[in-house]
Amino acid sequence: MAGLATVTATYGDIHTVVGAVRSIREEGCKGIQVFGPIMEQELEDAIGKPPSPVRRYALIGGVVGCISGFAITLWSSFYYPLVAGGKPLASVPAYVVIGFEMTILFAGISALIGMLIHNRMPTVELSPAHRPRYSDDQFGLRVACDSKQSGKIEDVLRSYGPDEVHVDG
Amino acid sequence: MSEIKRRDFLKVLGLSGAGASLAGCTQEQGHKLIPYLVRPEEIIPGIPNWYASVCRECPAGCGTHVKVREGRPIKVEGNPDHPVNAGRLCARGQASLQGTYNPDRITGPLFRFEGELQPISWDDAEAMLTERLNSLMAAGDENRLFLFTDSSVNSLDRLFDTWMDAIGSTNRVIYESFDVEPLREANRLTFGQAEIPRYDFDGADLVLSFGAGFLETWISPVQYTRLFSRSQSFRDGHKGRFIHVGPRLSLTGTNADEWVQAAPGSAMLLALAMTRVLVAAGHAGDRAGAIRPLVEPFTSERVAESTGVDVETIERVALEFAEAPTSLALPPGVEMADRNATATHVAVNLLNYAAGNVGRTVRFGPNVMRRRSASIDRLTEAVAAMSSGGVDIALIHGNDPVHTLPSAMGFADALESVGLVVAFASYLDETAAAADLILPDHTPLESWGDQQPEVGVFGLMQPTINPLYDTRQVGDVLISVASNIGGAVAGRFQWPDYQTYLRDEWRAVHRDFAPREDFEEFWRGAVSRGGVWRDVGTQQVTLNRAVSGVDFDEPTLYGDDTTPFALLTYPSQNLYDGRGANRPWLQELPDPVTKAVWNSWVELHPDTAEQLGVETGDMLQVTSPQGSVNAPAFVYWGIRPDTVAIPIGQGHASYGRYAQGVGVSPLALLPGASDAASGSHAWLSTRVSLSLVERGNHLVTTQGSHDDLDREIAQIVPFAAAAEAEELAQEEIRQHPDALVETSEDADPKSPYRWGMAIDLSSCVGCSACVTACYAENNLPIVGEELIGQGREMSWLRLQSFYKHVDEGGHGDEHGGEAQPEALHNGNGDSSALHVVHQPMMCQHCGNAPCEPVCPVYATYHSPEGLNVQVYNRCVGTRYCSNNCPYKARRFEWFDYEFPYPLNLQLNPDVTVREKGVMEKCTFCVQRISAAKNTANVDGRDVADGEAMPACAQTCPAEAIVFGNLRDPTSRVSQAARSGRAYHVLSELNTRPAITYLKEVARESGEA
Amino acid sequence: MASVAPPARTPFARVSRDIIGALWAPEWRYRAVMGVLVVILSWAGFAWVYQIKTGMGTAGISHPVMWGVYITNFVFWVGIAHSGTLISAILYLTRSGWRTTINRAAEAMTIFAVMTAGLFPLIHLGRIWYFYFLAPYPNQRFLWPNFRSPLIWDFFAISTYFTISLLFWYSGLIPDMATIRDRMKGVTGRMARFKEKVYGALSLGWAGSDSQWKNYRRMYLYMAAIATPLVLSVHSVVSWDFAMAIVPGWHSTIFAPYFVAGAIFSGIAMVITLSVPFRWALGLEDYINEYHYDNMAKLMLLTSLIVGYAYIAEYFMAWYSGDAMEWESFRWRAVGAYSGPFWIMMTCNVLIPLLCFARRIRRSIMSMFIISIFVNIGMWYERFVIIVTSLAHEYEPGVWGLYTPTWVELSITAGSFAWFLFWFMIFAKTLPAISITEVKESMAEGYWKPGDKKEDS
Repeated sequence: MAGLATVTATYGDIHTVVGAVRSIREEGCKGIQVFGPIMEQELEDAIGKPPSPVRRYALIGGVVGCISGFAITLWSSFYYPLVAGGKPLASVPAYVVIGFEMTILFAGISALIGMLIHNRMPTVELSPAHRPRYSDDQFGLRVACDSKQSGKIEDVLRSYGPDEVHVDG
Repeated sequence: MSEIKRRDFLKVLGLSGAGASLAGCTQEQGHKLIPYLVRPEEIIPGIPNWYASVCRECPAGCGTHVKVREGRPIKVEGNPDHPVNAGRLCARGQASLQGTYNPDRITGPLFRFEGELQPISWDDAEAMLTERLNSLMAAGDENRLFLFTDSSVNSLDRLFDTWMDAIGSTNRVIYESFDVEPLREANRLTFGQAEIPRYDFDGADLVLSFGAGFLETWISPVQYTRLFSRSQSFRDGHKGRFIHVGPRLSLTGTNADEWVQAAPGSAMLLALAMTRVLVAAGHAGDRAGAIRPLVEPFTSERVAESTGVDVETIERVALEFAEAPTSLALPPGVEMADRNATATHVAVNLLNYAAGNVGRTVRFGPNVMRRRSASIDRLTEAVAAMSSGGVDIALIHGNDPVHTLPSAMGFADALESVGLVVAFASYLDETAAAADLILPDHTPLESWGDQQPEVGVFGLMQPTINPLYDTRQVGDVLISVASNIGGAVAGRFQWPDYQTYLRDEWRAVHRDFAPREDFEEFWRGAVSRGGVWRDVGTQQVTLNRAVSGVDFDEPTLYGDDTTPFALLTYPSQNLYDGRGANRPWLQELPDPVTKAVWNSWVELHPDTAEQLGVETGDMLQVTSPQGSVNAPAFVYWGIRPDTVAIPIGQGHASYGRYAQGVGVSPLALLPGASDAASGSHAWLSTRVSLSLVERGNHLVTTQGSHDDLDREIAQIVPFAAAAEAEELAQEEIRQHPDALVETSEDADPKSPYRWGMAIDLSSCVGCSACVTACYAENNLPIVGEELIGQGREMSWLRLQSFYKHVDEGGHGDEHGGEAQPEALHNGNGDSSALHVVHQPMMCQHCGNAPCEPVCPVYATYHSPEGLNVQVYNRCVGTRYCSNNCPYKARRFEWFDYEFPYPLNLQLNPDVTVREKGVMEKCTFCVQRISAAKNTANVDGRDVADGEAMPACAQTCPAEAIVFGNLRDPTSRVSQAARSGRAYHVLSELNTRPAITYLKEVARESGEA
Repeated sequence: MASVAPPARTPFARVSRDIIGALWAPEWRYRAVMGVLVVILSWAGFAWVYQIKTGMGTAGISHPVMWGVYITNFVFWVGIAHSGTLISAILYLTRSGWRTTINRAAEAMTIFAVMTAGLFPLIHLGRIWYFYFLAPYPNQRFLWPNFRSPLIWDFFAISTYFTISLLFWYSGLIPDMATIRDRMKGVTGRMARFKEKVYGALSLGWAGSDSQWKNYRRMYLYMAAIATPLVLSVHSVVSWDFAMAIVPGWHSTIFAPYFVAGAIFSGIAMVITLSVPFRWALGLEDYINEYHYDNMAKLMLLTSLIVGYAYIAEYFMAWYSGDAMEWESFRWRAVGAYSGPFWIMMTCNVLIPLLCFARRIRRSIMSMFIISIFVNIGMWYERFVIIVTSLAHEYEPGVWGLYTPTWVELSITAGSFAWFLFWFMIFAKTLPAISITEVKESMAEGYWKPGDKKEDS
């Protein structure tokens, strides 16, 4: 019976990885995962996963920050009305600064939080597929496919001259 | 209520009050508040009691109301009913509190044993004095007893006489440092009246002064300031004209419309020449005949040369004086009293007489009451007697001759050869320091007493606090000593104590004033009113024959051509003859003219300074034939190049921590010369030389620049312009009587009040009483010379003076931001054309206050009643508000300042003592406003106009400050704010101040 | 360097080795410098305590000059704080390759400069024990700060700036942390295990998978995007501390751009001043070289010209407005009691930087180092001149006064430099002072590689 197989290859150069990924995708194989010390737009596009949800976090954070900035300033000046310098209680131009800073603050923090959530960070145990050199000078290309395909995939990967390839399952 | 009861509860209050004050007014924890177990009658904690009394800081005898909280006097204010000061008080009067609460007071009787002053019990002290007196009388040497006292007329004075008489000594020496004997003598010669008349400034359209400092220290400054500003400030379209003749612009002189720069000692000749002009022009009417022969020789031409005043000026001024509807000429006073002072006074009398002022603006009848003060000759005799060992006992009360007499007279040395020197002093002044036995007197606030400053005015003093220390009233001492002596002497002193004696003395007043009234009633009324008084009619006088005997020789000054400068020593308006020097408020109060603090100085003209290569602050040595002193220079355009001036009052060798070693006393330079006719001290009698000792900034002054660079901070307009503007303004007021200067956004629309103030610069004479009143009311700390040098004085209210030229726009002229106008530095500026504008400057309580929006914590914000309030508890001390205050009215607590006991007893319980690190400023005395509102609320009404009054407005002798509600179109402040002279300082910043200034007005010659 | 085995077989590995190899193992001169810094710090600490106990009077500030050296230092350090995030964020968005090797150090500088600047508003408070009144915290009296006050704007701007800069800097560090963690795996010894744990924890378990990279790079982009307006806003707000006041010499609309330019100017200068000894001490000459100084010099020159223009514009406006008080303030600034500081400022900020027009000077590291020091001095004096001269000569001639700092203020100022350097020294020995990842990226893109002193830029 046919089961699932994982083919793993490691490369020293990001551009080879890009090539490899492209031809794997031509094989119509989806389960691609790449590890490496750096990342480039080219490679991201080649892998072609949906855009990151982090941007939504940034947007929502920013909006919330802006609103809360104006809310606190306006509410507090009306809750405890004190006249200063003959200015109106709602000195909106002055409060814009607070609103702005709060927007930035919330947007930044929530963007970071978004990233952490979707990267499942922080965590103590790394993904089993990770290898020390992936953070140094090696790229790991990991393809999950039907075991029938595995041989074919292996050939494709070898054609890009990897440092090593091996298949399990 | 009988006074015995009063004493009892004052005891209770003294204790509990002290406790309360310690707990209430200091930062430290752990003091016990002593509660009232049984509340003394008349006392509600938190509600002040007011006691009427008399100010004894100078001989003027102003009536006071003493504000007492929980048994502690915390503020002295003028007695509104009193004819002398009508509710106003000067800086020295305000500071009388610090006499009682002075940390350097003598706490009990002291006796000099083995050269050291040792504490001794009252019984022993009195026994010792008695024993000495007994032996004196036994030996028949009664006249080897001397008694030195001041010259005030009161029951104590009479007690002194009785006592000396009982002992049998004729050697009572009445000594007043600033006496009026030349005036008295001149009046005797001219009018046969050995009296000091009333001067009706308020009735005088033209005031011509030959130098008397009548706004500072002369005779009755508070009264004179009030009357002066009535006629000389711009009021409903009228303003008198004031011409100051003399070598120096004193504070009084700075208020003149014109300054005639006459040589020192030339007053007599000028007065005579002017009289001559006036008579010649036929203004003397039927009086001319008597006067003409006297003044004939003194032609303007002859006089012009020696007086440094040109003929044209002499004649113009003389005719102005004659043609003015009413006029008043004033004598030289103390600072200009030379060796021919009496003759000078006679000359001025003639001028007044010729112009027909005698009986109109110079009125005999309501005379000033002073005992005749001993002549220099008499004092010299006394000194001689003492130094020759001819004196066994010298009793000294009420003055400090060692400090106030010229050192040349050797009073100090003479005391050493006296058997027993007894000082009835409250502080260890120079005289007390030389005494063998010190019997400390109560301070006036602790004493019973009275004072008769004028004919028909009897002021009454009552104790306002239980004596702080083991002191005893001099009267009680004399009485008990007398009874100890026993025999005939005791027979004449039947009173148990001074208080009883005083009551008996007042039986005469009672008979005089209200014979039908029951005495107890009368007494209680007098005590609560602060005395009794009535108007006294004018007494007509005519020219006296004796006047023809007066020889008008030109006075000469000691010294030769090595001493080029005439030395002018003038009474310090803050320290009087030096008695104020131990009151830190008065040391901290900038001199109204130089703005210098905690020091003496030598005033010299810019030209003189240039010749010597001297700048303000350089240390100079001033040398006279008698000696020399070192004092920092103050370059001042307001003094003639041939004259230098040094204030009297500093340079104490003793007299406590605040006075000792501060400044110098010019008396070391004076020969102790006397005026020929009256024998009074001739202050203006010597010449001096100057030499530079050391460069550097030895003088601390509080004002940055006296030139407002045409920023229209202090504004001055010519009389015509002011009158025109005033007419329009009044018309406007007539048409819209209910219009408000205030707009609703400056305070909560629902509030009935927006508090505001109007300050009339044409009334303000710059006396600075307001500043000290503010210190007293608001617990302002004393920081001392060094910190003031760093700009850290805590004064919420500063009195700044700007030197301005007048032009149509009422602007100053343009010159650089130097400490004094450029044109004056190099001397070629026409300084007689300069006007000095005195301007009280404090928080303006702006409607759009720049300080408020910048405070990060709302420590300062705008109250619903339009006050700019400062919340000390909320303040974190960013000092941003001060940076953003264009008036620089805010002060910062740089340190925690000390109020050494018992000064802390004076602290006002209604005002927080601020901690280090907080910002503070003028509050418009918000605590007094609240008090007024409470009273109003109880009666269910709004605060009436004039009911709420800050300390500064309350005390202002010139009535220049008006405070009130800008929401009430009829209030005095609203009216003033609509005046034609009204302006806001730096109005272009749109800060909408609550303080409106009214422009100073200069009335030039010929303007009417 | 045994601790960084395994040895580097590839260019990437060499980069990791060089940068990580510079960490730890402090030599004697490092210890010596730290010693000196600690001494200065403790002296400044003593001065501060003394001031708190005795009162603000121990400082020279007084009526009318209520702000002095403390606020000068505050603005100065906030200015320094501007280079870091600016270089990182703006240059990241504009894809300027030359940022890669200096941005890490510059960002660290930002953090520490803000930490220093943030102290001064506290130090200058009259009642520091109530500093929390400035924070908008709920309390039973419902007292809130006055949001109209520029000082509160400061509070928000500076704290936001600090937070965002910290996060931006830290997120940049994550992959490098992982690199260190993983390199430690190959090393034996308890120390190595310990480091592996620590840096492992700091890396938050970064594995470098493509999806992680995707989210990470998005996040980093947004951070950069929002940090850019933040940088500009922060110093604008600081400038409004002055511009919002009505003090002549402060109340000017040009202040925001003028201060921002000045901040970047001084920030870049400080980066140069620090990086020169730093690249030498850590042996990273290949990584930060003429190429980078050339570019920084150009940026410095540009901002210097803007600042110089602002100086002149200020004078023009003072004259052109015809406002006597404004003009007096500026006249006095140039010829009055503080003309010394004024001309120092002019020379250091306007004249000396003009040298950067010469390419030879731009590419001479020594001369850039010297120029940058002049700029630092000049910029400190600029703030001093603006604050002190304006306050000394305000509207009311009656209360003009002068100001001279006391030993307390000077000690605390010296302390602030020690404090800043102290943290920077710690950083240099514990965290990768150059972004390993970004160096590798630019190598992969073939844009730049260590040792390359590209002529073009």
